[in-house]
Amino acid sequence: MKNVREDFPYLERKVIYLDNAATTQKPNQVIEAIANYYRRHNANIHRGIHTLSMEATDMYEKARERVASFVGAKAKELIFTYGTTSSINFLANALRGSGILREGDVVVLTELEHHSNLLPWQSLKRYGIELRFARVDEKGVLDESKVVELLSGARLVSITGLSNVTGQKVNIGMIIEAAKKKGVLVHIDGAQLVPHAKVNVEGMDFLSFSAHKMLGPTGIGALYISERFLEKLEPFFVGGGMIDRVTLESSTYAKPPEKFEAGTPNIAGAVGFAAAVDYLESVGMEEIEKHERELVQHAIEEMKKLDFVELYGPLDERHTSIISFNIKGIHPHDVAHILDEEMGIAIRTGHHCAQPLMRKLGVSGTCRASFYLYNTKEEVDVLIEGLKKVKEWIG
Amino acid sequence: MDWLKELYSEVVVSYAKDPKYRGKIEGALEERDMNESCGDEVTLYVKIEDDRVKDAAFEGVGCVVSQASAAMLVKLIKGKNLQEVREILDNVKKMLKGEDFDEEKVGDLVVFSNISEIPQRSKCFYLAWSVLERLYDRISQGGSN
Ligand SMILES: Cc1ncc(COP(=O)(O)O)c(C=O)c1O
Repeated sequence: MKNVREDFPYLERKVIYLDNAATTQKPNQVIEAIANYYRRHNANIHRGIHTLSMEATDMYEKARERVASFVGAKAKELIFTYGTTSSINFLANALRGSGILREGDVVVLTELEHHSNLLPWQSLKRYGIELRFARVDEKGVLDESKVVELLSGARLVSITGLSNVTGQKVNIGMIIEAAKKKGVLVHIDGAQLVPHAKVNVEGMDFLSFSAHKMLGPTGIGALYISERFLEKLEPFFVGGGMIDRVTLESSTYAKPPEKFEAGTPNIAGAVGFAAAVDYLESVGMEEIEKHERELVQHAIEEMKKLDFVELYGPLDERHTSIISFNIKGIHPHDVAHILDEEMGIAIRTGHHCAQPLMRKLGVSGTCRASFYLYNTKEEVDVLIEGLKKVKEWIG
Repeated sequence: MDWLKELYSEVVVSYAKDPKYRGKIEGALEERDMNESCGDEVTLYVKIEDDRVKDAAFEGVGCVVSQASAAMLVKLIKGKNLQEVREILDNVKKMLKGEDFDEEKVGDLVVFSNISEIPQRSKCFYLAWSVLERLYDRISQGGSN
């Protein structure tokens, strides 16, 4: 893979940043694209006649095309949201509001899910929508056939493409295929998958992801809505910018995707999102996945040599990008704090917005190191040294 | 990082691991709290007789900071009368906020004297004390054994 580190100004801070599942660092190209938009092209979109407004509109729509093509979608099938959480909330509520999900319908989820792919569906229970869960094993590993078994009679399956806790890359191909056969709709939580692997929306009905986890800015994300739902799906947010004709009593809506984007969107965010996607493609998603797999495999190999470290997740070829672990007898907070202060290593600890999964693993939290294209094998080695140090100090 | 060395000094680590302050006291007042975000948990048992802490102990799981702070709490309040417990609590609160406090009142807890500058750990530090605060309120509202 080409050397990308010089593009990332955060490295001037001498930090070993291993918290990429939470959010990623930004390359100069993304920072510049956002700054350039604000410096020279800033205006509100859609309703303006003047030059700047037309430029801003053009940049926003080009960004849409760019992000859509990154996942193999048409521009009109991609709406900008504020991130994965907002995409899923939008989707769950819009599906119910449009009568696509009704009383008695079943939604299939798994024990792996991030709270953001759980609570929006839980909130539909008051409308008589039922949830079914595929369970994971005691290491937090999901057997996809367990999901397939639950599909009969279900209306929708909503599942993460890559676990933000265990680093398991879920075989969504198998689930999509089974779902299609049984007429079950598919939503993929792509918050971790889209940043770390080549993804194509083929076979999916809906896909959610966040820019900030893939080199882009915070406050913007995307929801892919398959063409066949664009007319049927009712907007969840209504207001300015998404209308056709409005009277005091009633209104008609603009065409999709505008129909789904009420209010002034995050225009600079969209521009930054597109720049991030450009950057990732210039490196190559296959290359990135290969690089991260090497890092995680190296980390697993080295951590296995430390008898005081407990590892979670599949630990085999399904495992990529993220590793969760604990030092036996030491609370994750203590580990993270010492790694940060002593070694300049940033990892995350806690439940990672997946409390049901923590309960299954029998822990209150884990330490999590998560990698991206700018991380190196040497950084993994420093992490391993750090773990030994923590053990020595307070073990 | 000197303060890190202090935060994880031998004193602190050994308090966190010492079984001496741990346990359950039958028939004592009991109060529990946890930090949802990290799973730290402390249950405090306090036995009051004649307005004095006759016995105290805690059960808990969590990071070194939360557990050491709980152990020091138990050691500090044992044998103290309610007025003294109140004074300890007030001084610990001042410490948490970074205000001047009376070092004599807080015993070994003084190793945490710059906790106010480590905001990511102040919740851990204060967990046991928030439990004591609730217990104290219960006692002063007339609840007893
Ligand atoms: C799998 C998964 N789903 C959803 C989310 C929520 O993403 P966001 O916070 O960008 O809305 C995250 C990120 O924390 C995640 O890892």
